[in-house]
Amino acid sequence: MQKNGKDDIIRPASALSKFTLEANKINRGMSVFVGGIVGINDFSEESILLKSHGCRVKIVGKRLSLKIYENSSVEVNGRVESINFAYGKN
Amino acid sequence: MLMVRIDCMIFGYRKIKIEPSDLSAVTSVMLHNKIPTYFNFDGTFSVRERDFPKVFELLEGRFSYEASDTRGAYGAYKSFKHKAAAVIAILISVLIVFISSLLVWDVRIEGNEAVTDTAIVCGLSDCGFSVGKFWHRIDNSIVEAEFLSRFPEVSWININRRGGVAYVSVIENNAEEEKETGEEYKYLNIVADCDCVIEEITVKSGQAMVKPGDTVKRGDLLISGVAQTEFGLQLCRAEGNVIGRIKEKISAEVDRECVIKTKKNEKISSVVLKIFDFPVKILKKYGNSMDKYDIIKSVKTFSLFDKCKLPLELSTEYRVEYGTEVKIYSDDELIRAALYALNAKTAERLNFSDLIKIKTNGNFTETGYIIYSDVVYCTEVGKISPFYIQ
Repeated sequence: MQKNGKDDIIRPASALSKFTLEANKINRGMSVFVGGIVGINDFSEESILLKSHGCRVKIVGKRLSLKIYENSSVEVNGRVESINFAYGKN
Repeated sequence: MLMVRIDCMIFGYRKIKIEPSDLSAVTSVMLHNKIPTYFNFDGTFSVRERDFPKVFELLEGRFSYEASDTRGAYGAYKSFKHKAAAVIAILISVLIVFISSLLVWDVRIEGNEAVTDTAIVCGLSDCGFSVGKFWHRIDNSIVEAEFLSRFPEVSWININRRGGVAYVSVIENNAEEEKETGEEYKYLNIVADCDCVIEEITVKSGQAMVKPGDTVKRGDLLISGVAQTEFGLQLCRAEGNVIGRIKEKISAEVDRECVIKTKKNEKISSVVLKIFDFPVKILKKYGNSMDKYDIIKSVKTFSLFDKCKLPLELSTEYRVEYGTEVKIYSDDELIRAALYALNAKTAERLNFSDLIKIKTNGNFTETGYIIYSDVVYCTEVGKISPFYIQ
């Protein structure tokens, strides 16, 4: 994600240091890449709940598919309708 | 649509079906053990053939599953009986395709109206270009030049290669002028584009209204489309070249203090290989720690022996982080920067012109340096100006 040099970005100390989230538009939906994942709490065709250090991400949509990579990163493809982010210790 | 990575397609993969209720638990297990997998929304997932033994250990006894045979190219190869024959057949096919791509398979003509396709194809054949010839043995520029000398009806020809097909674009001579609805033919005058002194005037049609040595202003009539003939006044499209001498001042100013971009870091962000225009993603890096960066994309094409272009293209994208710093020029650097800026402006202005005289001067200002050149040059000064008869 490109940051605007003029804005200040506030981060909790160390908790989100490995977390990244990048979303791109693809044919018939979106591709959401999430890095720094430690667990997957819930996975179904319509909802995926991902855990990271210090936060949770819930992706809701239709016909969701999941790719897992070796470096604790996942990619969610499909008709993503909402992405909810919440701080919290996992 | 099931999308399987290119390495799975080549080196093999297995498709595993599990109970929908176990989906969450299995994804967590795969993530925890860092096994790349692709989970589809119908409850099946794909895993690389080389990871399957480990996946088998993790699933056995804990989850109920159903695994397919090895799929992909490796799976087909494993199950195929006559492996040596298949490899030889593939190599022979590749060789045939490669040799075939060196030949001209078809010639297609575009842009012709009066001259027929057959006439152009026969003409090209007489010039040494036809179906069945080897591409690398043909010099397109020689063929085009020879064709134009044989065919006065054609004013321009270009041969483009797309794969094994030659696309020949032609423009014919004496194309009919377009008539605008409700108006007569357009007649033209040639007028001055800028203030200048006339150096030379050559009239192809029309009547000259100025002579060498005359001073003209912008918009003055140079060649009239109304010509006096023995039959009286005749209207025509004025044609000709008018060269004028122009005196101009070009200047450039540079500040002593400026902000310059400095390169800090360079990282590859993606690599894509295109085979016959089909993109294959080899590498893609996500996440970005750079504050300000430029994205540079470099495309590399490949050819065999510098003659035969291969249908491969490697596209690499870099993220180049940059910072900015304030630079204060010394006197010498300031003059050099001002001269560089002035030269760029002068080169752009003198494009397609003949320089007669240039005198350059400069002086320091409070904020920097200003440099200027008094330039005298000759250039084409006529521009067409249509007029209508009602």
